[in-house]
Amino acid sequence: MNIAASILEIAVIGLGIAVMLADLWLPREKKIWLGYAAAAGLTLILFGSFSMSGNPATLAFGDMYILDAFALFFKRFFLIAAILVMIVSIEYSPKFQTGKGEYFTLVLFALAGMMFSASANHFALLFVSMELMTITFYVLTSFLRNQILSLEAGIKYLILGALSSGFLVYGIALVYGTTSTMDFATLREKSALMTDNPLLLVGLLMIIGGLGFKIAAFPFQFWAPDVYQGSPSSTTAFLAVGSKAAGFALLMRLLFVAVPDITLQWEKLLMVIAGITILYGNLCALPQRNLKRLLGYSSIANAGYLMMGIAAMSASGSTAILYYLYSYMFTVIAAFLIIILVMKHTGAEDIVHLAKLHERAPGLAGVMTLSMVSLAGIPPLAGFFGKFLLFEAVIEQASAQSSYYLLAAVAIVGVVISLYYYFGVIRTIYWGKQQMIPEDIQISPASNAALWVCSVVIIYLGIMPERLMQAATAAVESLKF
Amino acid sequence: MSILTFILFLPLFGAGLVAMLPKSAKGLIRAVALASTALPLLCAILAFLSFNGAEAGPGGYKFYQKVAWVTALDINYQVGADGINIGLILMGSIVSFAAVCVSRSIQDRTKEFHFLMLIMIAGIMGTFMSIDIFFFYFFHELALVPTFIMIGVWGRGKNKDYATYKMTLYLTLGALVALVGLVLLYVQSGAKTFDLIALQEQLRNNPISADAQTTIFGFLLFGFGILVSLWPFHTWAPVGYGAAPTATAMLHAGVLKKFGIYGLIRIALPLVPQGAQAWLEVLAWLCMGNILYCGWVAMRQKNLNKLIGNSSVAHMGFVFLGIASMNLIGISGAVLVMIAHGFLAALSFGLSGYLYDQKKTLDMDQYGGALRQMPFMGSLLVMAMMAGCGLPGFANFAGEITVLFGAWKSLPWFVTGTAWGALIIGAVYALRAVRKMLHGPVANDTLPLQDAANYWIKLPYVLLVASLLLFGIFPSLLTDKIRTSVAEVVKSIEAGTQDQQTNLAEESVKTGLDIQLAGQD
Amino acid sequence: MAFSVLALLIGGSVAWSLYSKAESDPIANRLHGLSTALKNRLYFDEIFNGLIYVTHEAVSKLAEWVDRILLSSFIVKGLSNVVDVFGRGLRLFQTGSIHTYAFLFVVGIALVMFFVMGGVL
Repeated sequence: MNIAASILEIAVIGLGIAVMLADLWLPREKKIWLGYAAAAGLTLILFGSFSMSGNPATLAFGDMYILDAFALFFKRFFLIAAILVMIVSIEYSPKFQTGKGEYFTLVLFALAGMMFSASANHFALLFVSMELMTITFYVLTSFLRNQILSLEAGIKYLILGALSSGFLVYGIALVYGTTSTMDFATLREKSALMTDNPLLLVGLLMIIGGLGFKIAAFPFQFWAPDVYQGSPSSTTAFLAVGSKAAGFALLMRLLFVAVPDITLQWEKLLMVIAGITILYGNLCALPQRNLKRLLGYSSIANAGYLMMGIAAMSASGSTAILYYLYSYMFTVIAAFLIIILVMKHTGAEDIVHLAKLHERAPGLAGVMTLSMVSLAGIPPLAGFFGKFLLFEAVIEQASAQSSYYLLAAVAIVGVVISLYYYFGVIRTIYWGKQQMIPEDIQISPASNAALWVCSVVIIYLGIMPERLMQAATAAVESLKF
Repeated sequence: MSILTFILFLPLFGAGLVAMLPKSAKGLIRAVALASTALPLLCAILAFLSFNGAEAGPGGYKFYQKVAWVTALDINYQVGADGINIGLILMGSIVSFAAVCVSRSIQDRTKEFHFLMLIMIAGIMGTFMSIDIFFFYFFHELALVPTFIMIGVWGRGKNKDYATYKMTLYLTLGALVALVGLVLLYVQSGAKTFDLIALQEQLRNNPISADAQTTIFGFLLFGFGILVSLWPFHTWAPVGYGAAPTATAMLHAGVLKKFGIYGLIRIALPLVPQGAQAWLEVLAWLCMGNILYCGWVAMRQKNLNKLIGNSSVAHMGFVFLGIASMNLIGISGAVLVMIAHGFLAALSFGLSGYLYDQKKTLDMDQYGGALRQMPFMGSLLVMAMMAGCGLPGFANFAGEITVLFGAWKSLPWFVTGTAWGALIIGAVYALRAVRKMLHGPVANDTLPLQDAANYWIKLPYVLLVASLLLFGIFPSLLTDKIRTSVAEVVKSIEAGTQDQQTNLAEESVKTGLDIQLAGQD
Repeated sequence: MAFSVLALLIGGSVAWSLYSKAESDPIANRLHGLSTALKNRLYFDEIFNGLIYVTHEAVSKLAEWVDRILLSSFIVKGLSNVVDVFGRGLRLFQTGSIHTYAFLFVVGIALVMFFVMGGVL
């Protein structure tokens, strides 16, 4: 037993329990402080994580749990995401009649699930960590208890999530049945010898389906728009960033560490999934007027771009995914925070509500523009460099296998389509026609700070990519390409 | 630190300053914007004048500077100037300064406009001085969002939204296709670097296979082609420029659009010459589309901006023809046309903006006898139109005739077509516009046109006309510099294609340039 | 040299003999149509103008039509409309009903397996 390896998760769970207990004693009007406390605690844990090293890798809990550079990279990612989401939640929490404290606690527990998933080296931990994350999300999505849309989102996520978990477990069972192991390291050796065992392949495909649900990749993405739209905005942000990243962490470890030889046969499958996901997300987002739903479709499209990195099946592809996830996190959280700030009192999140934002709140207008431009992948912002790396990884493969050209072409079409709706948001902000009475916008210091952090990082990652590139490259080395 | 870095970062610095100024301080904002383009202009003139004496750095680039950026991919901030881009940098800074000068009419959201314009200018400058293909692309894209917002907010006309989107989507598509080509170069060269000098070195010794070259050149040709409005991907240009505010149209049509051509000459021709040869015929046919077809379309335009837009697309055909000739004279001519057209497009759009500010329309039927009301600006418009149809004495003539000389040997039929198109069609629409707008009875109108009131208003236009005349009368100021650098490009092409015939063609046309230059001086 | 002097002398004397005492142009009366043609510089301007009309004007009408209708409206706008229709069409999948989603999820997994095990992908 090597409990010290999982100290970060333990700290997060401890923080969660502390927040839950404090929730009992605090008077109602002060519960908001729990959120600040949790964010502060997470910041401390984040700083603590820099004293740890994933090199050499440490195994714990009977080799189920691995702490390597890859896992540590993702754990820091999840911690940063959770800190930002915590601030978003505080901004959103006036909409919860009861249970603010519970909400913050649940965010922490979901975070613990994500952090465990980054370290999963065994199907049991993979499943448990994913369920820890997913089950908390069932509650988080339906947290607006008196709003029918939120409840509907919760139910949809619950039922479809249960369905996908079912496939996942069944897949794990099949893999265990054929290889009699659930450990990734052992599986790597055994699967190399049985690359055409149909039962093993079926099992793995089911697992990919279960993970595909998490990352909202085609054809497992149908839940995403409805759930994104109905859930509380802070949950949606966490779902878009954390849950998707956890899915990718698991998928990368599964495909490139556990069954690399089988993955090699599946380049076409992965390409097709990536391509269709890109097209589906972007095409559906085109006529969309609801901002949250638009970001839901955009998150599908982004899952497609990220899948390009998987389909490239190379170290540079995986590095690109890690970079892209960071850029995506900051842009999306900034966007959701602005949605919450601008549309505090309106029920629906229609794009029209952003009209004339440049007059009402020039700063918010600027950050929203940054966020949209970054999502569209235009320099000098983070999203551009992320997309550039993904393109580079795909084109690198094109000289050997020309169908990668097709994938690049699809991605280009996707980016051009996406420009239309991302820039539509910018258009509304700067020269849209106003239809509603504008609300006055108040920004709390914490949100202000979060917006500053997001916009600075969006620009920083675009013009100074070196540091994160190095970290991502080092993390990908653990995947043993 | 290189002088080029100043030219690049001063506008960015200015943009930062403008962002911090209060909205109401319009005078101060204008002053900052003027200063942050006037200083780069001085630097550019200084660089241009001291170019011959400057010390050559790696790859023959002068004013060279290199800062490592992303080591994992070997991307470096790397600027430098040779004979091909020094003229472009000078042209770019003159046009930028002129564009800021003419933006005094922007009263609504002055701060935002100047902020965006300075960012766009920085992007433009960076594009033409980068000798790292990543940054080359990066800076071009940097100018995209400002262009989008500027046209959207300050643009004109009923369908400006349509124009904005059309232009943005086209430009992005072109840029992405070109990006695939650039990344392919990075991947397939085996050098794993975006450093243009190192790439050239690597490819000189181990060229890419002919098939791969054809693929890469195809991506670059169509990607860059869309950006330069190569026929039939040109429809964004007249629509976009028709809707764009004056300064944006000047900057984009004048300078930024040359990104694609510059990319073809700087990257595609020397690095994948065999690919270029494979696509030669296609390119020659498409540039006929530009020269003839777009000229014809321009003949039917009733709106001055659309006319200028279409004629500017037609002029791009000359540049493509020069590239397609793949020899010293032709490519030198292409570079010359690029610079001359930059001045010309900026001048034409500047003048049309001047007219629009007064009449709020550019419908040519609404004008008449304008020369009587505004003799000074009217004469400038006549000069712009004459320069557009290739009147000797203007830089355009020097460039176009050089292209025709260069292309004569390899593509005689195309040259005939071009000459026909340029001389007749160009003259028809230019002279008709002059007749309709400037001569004839004064238009019956409540708003008489005002001539430029003072020297400050005249300054940008005079600057542009003076540049056109200067380089038209003394083209050797440019050609001397251009020829040495293009000779390097041609050398790479010849080494890459191993074609003896080009050599011969080379010799025979070299005399052509001397004849032409003698005629010019 | 001598030839040109001779030509000058002949020409000059012919002109002198014709015009010295004439009140109106004597050639115009004798040559009728040809003289009008000569007066109008053999109609070169008109021919050029007509040529331009026949060639360039006509072609430019066609080119402008192609540009406006065929390229801009039909192809470019058509393409964007096709994309738009696809966007709207795909939304039909998003019925909002859990049954549909669950069904599509299972169909999706089944299709993936079918294609992978069938060797297509």
